[in-house]
Amino acid sequence: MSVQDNDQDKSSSSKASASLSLSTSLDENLALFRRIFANDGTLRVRVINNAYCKELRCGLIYIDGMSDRNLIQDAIIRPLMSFDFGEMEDFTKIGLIDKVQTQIVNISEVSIYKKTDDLVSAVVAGYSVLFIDGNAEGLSLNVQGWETRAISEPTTEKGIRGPRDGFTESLPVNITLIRRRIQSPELKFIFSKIGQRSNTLTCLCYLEDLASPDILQELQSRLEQVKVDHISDTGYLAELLRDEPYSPFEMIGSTERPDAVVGKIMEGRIALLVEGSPFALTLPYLFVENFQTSEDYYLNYYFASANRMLRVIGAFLSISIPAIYLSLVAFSQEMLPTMLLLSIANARKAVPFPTIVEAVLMLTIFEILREAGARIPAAIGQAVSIVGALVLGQAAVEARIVSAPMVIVVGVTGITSLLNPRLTGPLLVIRLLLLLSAFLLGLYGYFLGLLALVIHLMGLRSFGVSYMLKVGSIKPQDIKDTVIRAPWWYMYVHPIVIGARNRKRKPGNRP
Amino acid sequence: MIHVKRIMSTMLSLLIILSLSGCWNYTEVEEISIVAGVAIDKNKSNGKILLTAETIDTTGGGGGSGGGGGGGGQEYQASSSIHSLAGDTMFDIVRGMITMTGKKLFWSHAKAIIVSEEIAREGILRVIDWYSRDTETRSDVYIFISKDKDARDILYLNKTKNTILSFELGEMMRNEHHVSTAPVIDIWDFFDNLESPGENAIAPLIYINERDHKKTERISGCAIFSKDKMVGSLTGEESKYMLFVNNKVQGGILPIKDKKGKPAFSLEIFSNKTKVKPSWVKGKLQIQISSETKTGLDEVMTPNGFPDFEKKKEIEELAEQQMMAHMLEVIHKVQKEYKADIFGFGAAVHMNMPKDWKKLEKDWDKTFPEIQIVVKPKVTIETSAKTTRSIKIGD
Repeated sequence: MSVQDNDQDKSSSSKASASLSLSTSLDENLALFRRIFANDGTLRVRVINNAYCKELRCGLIYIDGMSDRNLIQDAIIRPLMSFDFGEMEDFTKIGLIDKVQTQIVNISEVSIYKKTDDLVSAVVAGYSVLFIDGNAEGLSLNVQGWETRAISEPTTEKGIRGPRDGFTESLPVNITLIRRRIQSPELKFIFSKIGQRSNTLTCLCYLEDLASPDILQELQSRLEQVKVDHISDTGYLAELLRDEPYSPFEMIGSTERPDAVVGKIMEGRIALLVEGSPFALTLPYLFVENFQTSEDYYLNYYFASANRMLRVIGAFLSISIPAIYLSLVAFSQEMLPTMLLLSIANARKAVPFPTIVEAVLMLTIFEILREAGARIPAAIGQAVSIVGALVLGQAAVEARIVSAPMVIVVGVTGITSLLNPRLTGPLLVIRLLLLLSAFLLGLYGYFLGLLALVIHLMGLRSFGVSYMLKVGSIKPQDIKDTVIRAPWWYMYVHPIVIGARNRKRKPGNRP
Repeated sequence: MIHVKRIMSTMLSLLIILSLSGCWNYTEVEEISIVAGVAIDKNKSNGKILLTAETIDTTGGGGGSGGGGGGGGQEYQASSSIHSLAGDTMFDIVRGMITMTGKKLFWSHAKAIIVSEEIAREGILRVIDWYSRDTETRSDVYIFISKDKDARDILYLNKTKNTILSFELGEMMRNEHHVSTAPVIDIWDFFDNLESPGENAIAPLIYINERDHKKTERISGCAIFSKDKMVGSLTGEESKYMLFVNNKVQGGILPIKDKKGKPAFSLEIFSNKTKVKPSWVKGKLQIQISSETKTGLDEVMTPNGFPDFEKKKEIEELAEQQMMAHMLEVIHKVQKEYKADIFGFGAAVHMNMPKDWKKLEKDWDKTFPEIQIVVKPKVTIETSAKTTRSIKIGD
């Protein structure tokens, strides 16, 4: 959404001020702002008189906590008070504001506005506004300054190897983290405001000579259509901008790591940052990205490829194991090896529930444990693991409420679902659906469900790019960064479609 | 309109997909009675079929699984129970079994069918047709013919041995190729032999072996069928040479006598390849059997029988002579006594001389006993195990 768009439907308080234009009287202007910010205790109004020239009166408006007080004192108030206006040759009140802007205030970012609206949005953004008696204009001075969290290691995506810095809640800091890694004029930042009440600053970030202009245009038009009161995190935007709103899969990537974002930008993707959120969005997003971590690119490629494969197998097992177990035990007993069938039958002999009830019960309990572990304070986290391991595992089996094979099934399912943190949500939904179809139709139902899943995945699109781009391909250049991670010297072209403008990339020479 | 079409086509395809899926049913494992093996006898009193099924016990108090004082100690003790029921047809009896076990019988894990000789001599097809026809049974189950005793007696051995007897039989058949004294026949092979022209069916024989008041089952020898009726049997030793002719030997031991007729050497069979070639010699059909057996010398029972590895030629020649004698003996016995072409000579003629086979096919039964047989075995000793000579007795 562009700034002009935003102006047309301002909130009610701004509408009142729009009818009131600035006057040449300082007192009237100050009164106007006091009225606009009525009941706002954070508004500060400071009237400044010059020591040499009694006629010169100025009024400074800023919001406490959003501005740097030292800067206001040193760069605005002191020069205004102590500058000798009497020595000025052609001192007149009219046009004085230009002289103040160019000669007196020591602030790098200064601009003159005639509209009340512009000044009001400057004040709420942490700028200070200077009025000078006799001038019907206001000077907005960038003195923004507030506390930010220090740059720390991202907790959601820890790695053994690789950069340790993570995004913070401050947009300028985050932009710096990206800019420091790509020092090129081709790196573009486009700012816009989203949120009709919150006016949250967002920033698009891409490489001009790599990113596909079609995708960029599509993204900008979607951003313009977003109508929302406020945005607390990029998660809001990920949901509002995505394709296929009913699919359980993520259609826009998100990461806390600047190095990961830089990697994606370097492949021609577009990043989206939002003030107040330490998560950057990257798009378009492909299915294989669910299995990629930035550490893959720093480690030895054999090891990284093995890890990738484990993640893919883990995701498959995670959705399949309960359904396959159910269909083998309850439908196709002939497919189990005889001894395994006997030991399962023996383990189940005193269990009162049917296998499907057992499976749903245990899966639910596992999800409860997982959710509890994620929510409770770390200090009492141990209690959950004790209850989970002892009470629900061993004791439940001994009390013959569930069978031991089912505990193994749920255990493997749970562990494998945690292997892909990005996929935990979708896998949970699919696992239950597959379990249900296996319950209705056995192995046949399971395979029908799997088929439906593949059809669904194949139909998905993220910003016009197929979600399963090149997944069926067997060309070496198409699978170089999917289930395996090829050596860097082998990745000499960008993924097609995403980096449509310039397919060649410098891979680094083969040693 | 397109929308309606789409919904209709989706509904139609769903209807077909979901309803044409064949046999499915939600059944918990503990609600089925897993059959390990069956024995088929003739009921003495009324001549009906008597079916005896060995089913695996999972619900019974199998050993110490009830107590388990410590931590989850549910060690699984295999046990089985046996149910017998008589009836007119097989399927009738199988369904009737529910009235005895309370559960539906589950056939996919069955390993053995034992048919009594009495039934086999009357015609085996009427009792095993159901087994190959039904959808729940598998055709890879091993078939046995019980000699002398009732077939169910063999299943009852599990009471004294405390194992699942049918699984033991399955295990025996899987390791049979180390011995080669009985053919390994699953029900699929059996039907294949029954159906193909110029070949007669065989099946392994099973006995109860009693020694020191301990009874064990023993598989040795084979039953010979003409059509679907059993006509006779071969001993274990004869079966071995029959298997040589049939090119079914994969292993086993070849005992060789020395020139005086005393058992002296054991050859371990590594591999064997037998070729059967029919030809016309002076207007008579002749079958040439040439075999190539690779062996290792693994036992020498006389002190000076094997002075050094150079002498292996002599042993090879002895082995060849004795093999030829044994093979001819078996073939002649089958030709004269049973007149059943269990060696598949007819099939060999069919394959090599298809034009002649058309003439011969009609009265192959009469032709078979008259065929001239030439046997050319070739035995090679490749190793002599850990030493190249025999043990010399010191002074």
